[in-house]
Amino acid sequence: MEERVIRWARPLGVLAALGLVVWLGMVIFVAPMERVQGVIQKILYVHVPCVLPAYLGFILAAIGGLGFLRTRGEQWDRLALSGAEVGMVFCTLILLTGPIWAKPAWGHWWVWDLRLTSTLVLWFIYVAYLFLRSFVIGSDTARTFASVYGIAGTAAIPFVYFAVDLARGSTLHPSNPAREGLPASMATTWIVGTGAFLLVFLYLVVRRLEVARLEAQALEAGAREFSA
Amino acid sequence: MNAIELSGVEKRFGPVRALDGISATLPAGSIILLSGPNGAGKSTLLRVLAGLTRPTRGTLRVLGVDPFGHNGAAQRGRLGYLGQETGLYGELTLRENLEFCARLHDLGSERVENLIHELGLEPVSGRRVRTLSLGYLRRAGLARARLTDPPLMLLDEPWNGLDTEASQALTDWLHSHRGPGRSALIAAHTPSAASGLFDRELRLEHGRLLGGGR
Amino acid sequence: MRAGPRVAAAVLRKDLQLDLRSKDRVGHMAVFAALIVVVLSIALPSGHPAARAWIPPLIWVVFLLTSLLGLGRSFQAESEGGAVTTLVQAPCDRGWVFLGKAGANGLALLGVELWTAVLCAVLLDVRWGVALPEVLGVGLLGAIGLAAVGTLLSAMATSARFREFLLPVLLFPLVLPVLILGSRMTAEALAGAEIPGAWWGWLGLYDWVFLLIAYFVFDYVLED
Repeated sequence: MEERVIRWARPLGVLAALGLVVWLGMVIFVAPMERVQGVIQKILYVHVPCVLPAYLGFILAAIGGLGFLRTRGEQWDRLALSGAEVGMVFCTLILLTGPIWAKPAWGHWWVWDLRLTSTLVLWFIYVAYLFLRSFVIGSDTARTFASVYGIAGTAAIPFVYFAVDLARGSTLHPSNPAREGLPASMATTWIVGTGAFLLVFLYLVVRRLEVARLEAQALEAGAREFSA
Repeated sequence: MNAIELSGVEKRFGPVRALDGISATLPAGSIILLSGPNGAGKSTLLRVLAGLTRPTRGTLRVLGVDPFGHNGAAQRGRLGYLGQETGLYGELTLRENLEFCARLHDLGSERVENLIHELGLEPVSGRRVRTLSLGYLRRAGLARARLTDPPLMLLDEPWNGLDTEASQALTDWLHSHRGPGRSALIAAHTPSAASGLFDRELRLEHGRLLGGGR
Repeated sequence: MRAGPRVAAAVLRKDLQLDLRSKDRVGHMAVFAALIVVVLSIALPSGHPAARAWIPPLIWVVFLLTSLLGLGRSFQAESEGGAVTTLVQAPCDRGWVFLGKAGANGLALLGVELWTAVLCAVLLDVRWGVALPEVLGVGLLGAIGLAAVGTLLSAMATSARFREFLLPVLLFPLVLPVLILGSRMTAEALAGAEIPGAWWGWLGLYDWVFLLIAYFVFDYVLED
């Protein structure tokens, strides 16, 4: 099953590259130049499309965790790890691109609003997950514990969201473009961007899966020699 | 019924294979010696059988039940495991430790008192476990393992740290433990401490089982 | 009594026995909480009306940091004597072992909360008064949530490297909702306002969700 997924790597790569080309084209030519904020505003076309992949990484970590706990099949754990690592990359991108836009637009590097704050907490959960994997002694134990934390971390997300909303009250964060009467071309670019980044996400996850699988096979072969 | 059935059991710790494809069938009613050099995997095998750690691969049945399956829980009281550590709480007294285990398995304090008496632990029963000498400590661990009067004993170097008297007492008890449906798998370095006790020997080397028998 | 609840009760009783006997854990937490509250009461600008608004969140932060100290030692007794094997061999779902442990931790945390409340009344001039029943309710739900997540994570961190670093890193993001809900609800109660039902609901739901998750995964966690 894992092998079949890995075979999708090349076609996914091609699709992802195409998607990026289309997205880039739209960012440069189709999306309007914002009058006040200028070209800096266009970094939002990186910022927003990263959101779905970032959350998807979590969901993969939870699914992989559940799968591993129930079946003890290592391919589930590899899925969780790949999802988490790639998801974290996108999560980091959100946190980096946000301030790059926020400073010229609002005058602050950081704003404690709902979306950005929740993403920051999400990032910390990712970090904790990766630390847990590297600090636990014993690979079987590490996989088990990571599975547990992946599930618990994902379960915490709705509560984090609600809590941050409660704590911060009003939000400076612009929400839905259509609701706020922004031009449709912006929304279209965001949607295209999300699609393209989703493809990139899937491509990276599949590639990471492949590497993890090769690592496991190498370990297997090495162990055979070790004990022979 | 077989006491233990192992099929292709493997246990890996990272790149190291502590158990490398172990298959064996051990009938009930026998006392078996598990021998082998240090690092052969004896302790790991006992831990897997006791349900303390999951095998990486392979299947096993202990007293007819898979310890990691759905019904594994109910059968745990039918195993008596004594590992390298005693499994006791240092800050509780010996009696309190045994009473805790008794409560876990729904046993009364009478059983605790009987065991304390039988193993000669009265002098130290009211002392905190962390103050006990090695000899008493090992005897206390044995008491804990025997608490539920389990039909299958899994003992890891049980004669370690015991003085001559206690050593003999253990050997005598194992002799008396032998009977229909009652078995023991014992990992030991110095089988001479209890010659004539074992019905069969299993030898482990580098995680693999060598042919054995007597 | 059926095996599960019996085991949970035995574990709870044993943990309480250990806590009361050595008094290490409880004593250290008490001193630690007092220390932080003293530092805060010196450092906070006094008589400043705006500063008072900070107090409920600060109380919860004190509580969280103190709990960290105690939770980190949840499984210390087990790892020292190899007593984990005794727990693993309990003749029931290991989730019940978790419930026993979490129960003991929850009681310890409740004790810390009460002690912190007393300290705040004395040193920070917090008037609990009429808000007390609600605050107790919030404290109870908060302690349960923190004990549930904390016990689960402590079991995992105990056998890892850099335990003192790992546990807070694992814990804080997951218990952030408890911190925020707890401090908001405490603030409302102190201000004499009614706490919205939805908030009680979220906090209660949090406790339920994590108790369930921990109960079901504990089997895997204990199996080394």
